Amino acid sequence: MFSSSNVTCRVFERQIRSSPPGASVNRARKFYENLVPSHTLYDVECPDHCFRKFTEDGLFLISFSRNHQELVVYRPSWLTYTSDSDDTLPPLPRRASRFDSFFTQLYSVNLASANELICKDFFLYFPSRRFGLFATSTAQIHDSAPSPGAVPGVPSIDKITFVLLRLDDGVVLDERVFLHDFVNLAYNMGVFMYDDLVAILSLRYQKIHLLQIRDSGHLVDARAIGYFCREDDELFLNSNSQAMMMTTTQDKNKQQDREDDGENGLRHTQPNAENSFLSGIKQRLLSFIFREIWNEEPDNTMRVQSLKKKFYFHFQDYVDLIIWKVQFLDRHHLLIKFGSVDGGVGRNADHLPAFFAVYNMETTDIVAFYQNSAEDLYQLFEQFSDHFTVSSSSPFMNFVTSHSNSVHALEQLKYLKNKSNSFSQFVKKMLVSLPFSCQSQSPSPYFDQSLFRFDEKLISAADRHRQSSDNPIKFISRRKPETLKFKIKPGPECGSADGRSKKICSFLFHPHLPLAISIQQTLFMPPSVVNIHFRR
Amino acid sequence: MGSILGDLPSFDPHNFSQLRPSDPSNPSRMVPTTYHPTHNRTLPPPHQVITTEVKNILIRSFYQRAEDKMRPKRPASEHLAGEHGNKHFRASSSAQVSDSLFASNELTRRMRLVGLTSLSDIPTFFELKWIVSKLDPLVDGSWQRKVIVVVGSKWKERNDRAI
Repeated sequence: MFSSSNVTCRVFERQIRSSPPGASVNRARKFYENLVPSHTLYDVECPDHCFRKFTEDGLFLISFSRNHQELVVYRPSWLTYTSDSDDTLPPLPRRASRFDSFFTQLYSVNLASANELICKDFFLYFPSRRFGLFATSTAQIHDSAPSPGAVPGVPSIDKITFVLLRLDDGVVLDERVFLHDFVNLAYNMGVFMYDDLVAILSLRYQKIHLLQIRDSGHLVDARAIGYFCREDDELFLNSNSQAMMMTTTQDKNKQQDREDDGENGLRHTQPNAENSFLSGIKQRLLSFIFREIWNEEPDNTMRVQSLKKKFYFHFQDYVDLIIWKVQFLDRHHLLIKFGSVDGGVGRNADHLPAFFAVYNMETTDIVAFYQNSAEDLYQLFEQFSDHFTVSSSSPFMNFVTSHSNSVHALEQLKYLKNKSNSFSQFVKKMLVSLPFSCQSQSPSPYFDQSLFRFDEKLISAADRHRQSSDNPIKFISRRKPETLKFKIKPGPECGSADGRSKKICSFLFHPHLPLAISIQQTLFMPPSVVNIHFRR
Repeated sequence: MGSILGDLPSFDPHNFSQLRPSDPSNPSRMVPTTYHPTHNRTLPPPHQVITTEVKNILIRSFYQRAEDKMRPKRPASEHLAGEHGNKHFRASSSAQVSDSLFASNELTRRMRLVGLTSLSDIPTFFELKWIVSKLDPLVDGSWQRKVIVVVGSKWKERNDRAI
């Protein structure tokens, strides 16, 4: 898009020529080839917090105190100093290697009370109002007593609180408490935010709670999908069961029983052991599978044969499926991942069979159902991966590189596909990442595959810890000539003395400034090394 | 030197009336040739409103595939023009019949392209070498594909059982 790689020429060219239609953001991102965070300040003195991430508009840096009970929010600023030397690159002052030259602390709020801890891997940002959603929880109990409606085998947490906080000033706006429940909080896995809707999956009770974030900051319950699919199902079933109980006691003709059962009928909103109805969403799923198999064969006898083989033989397996993960596809559609009870909580569930269903919340219909080795679903994943990683309002988030919008990422995917021995194994491996976790990719243009080439195993847009290596991570420009643009070295400047201890490092890139933080820590020793990479 | 864009027609004779030719020695025509459409087949329907489809393309493809699966298999006599090209190449029984129909349409299309009107014309057209296939209906209602090899002026018919 630019004819020269010199930044001044590019600025002049930008004055004259407009960008190709629809590519203005891409053209603006080309300037990041010239402005790179090439200078590193090693081992910056900083307060001992767990830094979580930059918000996607770049206004806040979210971190938690070491005891996981306080939230500390910083504002990223920039190092300013004066110098009277004549060099083009004047030396940095002494105070440059301090954390507060780059970040100013806004406030520190206590979110968790005595026995609760803030989940440090959970954070969702609502950009239009600058609200943040955090979660605090008590300890996990693995062998909890079975309670009605709960799936056995899923651990229980006594109290999970979701806190909605206004990030501008740290005021807690609203809270939502789940008691004796289990929500997978690690890396936003059990919660998905789309625009102003938040879907929280309660694994223990197999319910998808839909909350809406209002502009005033209130969390409003919109719907709970699980046992009931529509809002008025519960009312309908209750009135029905009440009427049924009335008639049975009239048959028995006992006054006291009628009063007792009437009270019980009002209080029993959850299914108990005697109630043999399957949950609403399970019924939708089973009927969809039935209709799909029914419509495959034109002949009636073949239909019954096919049903026996494919449906009734596996009926109990289908009934025993539980919801593992949920994501929004758009405002009315959910992508739900079903699996067996064993793999709901742990992360090593890749070898277990899993199923994907697309559920329409308005019509409460299942639209599609696939197994995790389905090639159809893989084709859609390959072509439209961007639509799976939906994001709402922020313009930067639509430009996160995926294999649907970047030839380079697509080439890497095709290379992996050709390298794999079995296509169905490859499909299963790729579909493990569905449904995607919300806000888990950094929108920084330094991760744009059309601008830079870097080693995906050492660093990538996903905010996970990685193995740290002593060699610096190179970012090489994609534009010819392919020169090294900058390096990120996460370790201390002179290399580590103790080469044996395993180090993990995490990178936080600012969404639009050439600023990055790398945090390296050994697994069990708390003090971590924090480096700041910026453009000098 | 007239430009290639200089003499294009217009629907309104008053258009381009303000245009002054840059070269005064070569006055170009002031009034463009006027064309009027003789039919209104290409007009948009009245009160048409064009809006963006609310469902994004991923969800549209889910619904499309679900509809294709839910629709029971149609008999071979109906026209099969599926959106997915791979429908023609599946190895199921109904798709075989559709494949054969497709081939016979292809055969007639190719013949028409080169001016042949019936199979008996083939021996006279000796410049071409190609393999076409035609279909013979069998007694039991199924189809058998025959391959005709045209080489020069000779043509041979062979039975092709490997459908």
